[in-house]
Amino acid sequence: MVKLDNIIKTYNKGKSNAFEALHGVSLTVGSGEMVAIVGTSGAGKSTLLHILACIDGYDSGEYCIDGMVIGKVSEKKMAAIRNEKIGMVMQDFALVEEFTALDNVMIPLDFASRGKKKRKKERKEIALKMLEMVQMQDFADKPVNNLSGGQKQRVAIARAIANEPSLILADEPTGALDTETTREIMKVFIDLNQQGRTIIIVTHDLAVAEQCSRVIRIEDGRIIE
Amino acid sequence: MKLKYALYEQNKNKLMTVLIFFQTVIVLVMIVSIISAIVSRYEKYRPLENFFQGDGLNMHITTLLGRTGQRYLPFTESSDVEKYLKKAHMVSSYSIQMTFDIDNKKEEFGSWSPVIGYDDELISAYTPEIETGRWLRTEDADTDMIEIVLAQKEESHKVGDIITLTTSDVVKESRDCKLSKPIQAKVVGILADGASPIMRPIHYGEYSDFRDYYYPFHRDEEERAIVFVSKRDIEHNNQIHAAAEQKNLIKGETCIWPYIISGPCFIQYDTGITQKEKDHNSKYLAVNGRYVFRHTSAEMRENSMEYIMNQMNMLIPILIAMIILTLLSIISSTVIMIRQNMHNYSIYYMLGMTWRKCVSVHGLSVVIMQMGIFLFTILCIAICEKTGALDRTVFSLGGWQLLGCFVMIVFFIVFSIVLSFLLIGKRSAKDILREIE
Ligand SMILES: Nc1ncnc2c1ncn2[C@@H]1O[C@H](COP(=O)(O)OP(=O)(O)O)[C@@H](O)[C@H]1O
Ligand SMILES: [Mg+2]
Repeated sequence: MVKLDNIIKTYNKGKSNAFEALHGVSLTVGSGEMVAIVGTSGAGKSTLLHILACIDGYDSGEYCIDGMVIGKVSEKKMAAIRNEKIGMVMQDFALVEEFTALDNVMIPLDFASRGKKKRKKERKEIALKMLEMVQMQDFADKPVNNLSGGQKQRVAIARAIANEPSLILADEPTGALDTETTREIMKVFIDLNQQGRTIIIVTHDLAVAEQCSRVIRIEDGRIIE
Repeated sequence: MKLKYALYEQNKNKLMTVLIFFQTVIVLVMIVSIISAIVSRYEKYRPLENFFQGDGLNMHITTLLGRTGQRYLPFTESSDVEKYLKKAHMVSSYSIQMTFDIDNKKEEFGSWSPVIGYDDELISAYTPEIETGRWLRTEDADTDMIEIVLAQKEESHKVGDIITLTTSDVVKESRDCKLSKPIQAKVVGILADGASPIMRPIHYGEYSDFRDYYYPFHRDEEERAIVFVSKRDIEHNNQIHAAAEQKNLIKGETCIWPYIISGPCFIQYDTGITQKEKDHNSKYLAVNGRYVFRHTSAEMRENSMEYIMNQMNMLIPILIAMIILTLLSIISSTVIMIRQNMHNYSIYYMLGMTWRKCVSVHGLSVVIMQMGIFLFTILCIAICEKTGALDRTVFSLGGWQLLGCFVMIVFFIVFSIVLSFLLIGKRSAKDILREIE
């Protein structure tokens, strides 16, 4: 369902500090896989994941989701893909701190493109259901800046799955969490994977990588295994 | 949906919001005051604007002699004067010798109340502020009931009151000057306190512009009532009643209430008039008339426009300075707000918004705020107006003032949105999101 072909990414292209972060990455991830991307710091893991999440572009190569070539579709279509097909979990959670947990989970539901958008009551029900899936239903009305790191990450995961995306991307989702919480969060991912969702997790925690069905190692902008 | 996110933005950055709020309110108040000043002045200029068009002379006449070519006979009709002038049209006021002491309900309504008559063109040119009833009407001049409008010091008369006139100065051999048959006059309107009817003000010639034609009527400063009538109405009633009173009148008198041209007069020249003809007219008027005020139409126009715009010249630089200050505040607050919000916008972007939508969220919050300021300011001014706090000022809230404020607000909104459009989405969302990492 996800196919990268010879992706090259250069930061600050054309400037004196130009830096090629990915030197022709090719990768295929099938539906229902749970893949870990590991590598040292600076290897290009985040860069790769951001391209996968359609929040960053690439310079050459081709990236397809479900046969659709990303980078060749309109800005609006890209937004719709981010909204519907991809659920993104960031290391620092990327939550709207002043919003409640519920409001955060409702964001992707609120941003659904016309025609796919549900009624407000329904959106709220879905958001609550998502929070329930990550055992956060009791915190629905709490502003997220009052929550602990593990709780925040659960909210972020609930938000990532709100629109039932087929692809869940996580950039070091446990990087800021202790071992116990890491285990709990990983359980959530494994549960989601067992429900049939494709998951790609960037991590440098080998314990996390071990729980995935496939491990991809990246070094200096190249995939090595 | 956007509303929820726009309202949320509103709560961020309160200090900047308060600053912009007050600056914008000041700008709007200044706009209202400038426009009010211009509108209030222009409202007095407009009725006379026609008389000041093109070429002509504008005067306050004391007397104008020369009727039927006789040097001692004062003119009684503007149409008569026109015959001695070249290519000229004259609109006049009249001083009417009419005594209103018959029904003398109150002292102030004494025989010495001046009675001012107007040509039809003057009646329809301007309606002074009326308290009750209505202004004189040109089409009522043909009835045998004289219609009068009063500027009264006390509340002696009401609209609808009928005043019975029993005396005339031209009735012979009678100390009481009694008419054999009383004639009725009906009060159709009472001028408001603070009204400014067209007549010679006490300090005429002070400005050499349109203001010299308005008499500021203030009840507590008046010593007597003033009566306004249509000259044509008096003329008509003179004709009707003079015949009946014929044997009762002093020999040679043909009317019951004589009148002469006196007070504000406007002479307009036809477009084709030559300098020679103008010189002839000027000379004729100089030789036969006595005036306390005389200006060409060009002078009146120039002086009037200068006075109307005067306030603008004074306030516009301050207004522009205020607008620039407000724009600077909008720029800095937009930059700060968007920088603060950029993290959230990036989250929105990641979750499926386009940058354009983020701009529209910000835009909506700007619209809410600016419209809030607009409504707040307008409401405050409206309340002040209602409670009478603005009564002695030119401050008022008319269509032009609202339009001016609205245009300003729309400009501020467009400016903010264009600015946010330039700022949002310039950096990739991932860069912003990882900045925090
Ligand atoms: N916006 C950027 N501009 C310039 N260089 C960048 C940028 N983002 C990342 N890089 C560089 O690209 C390389 C890969 O970064 P990243 O993908 O974040 O690595 P990882 O996530 O594996 O630690 C690093 O050397 C980093 O310095
Ligand atoms: Mg990284």
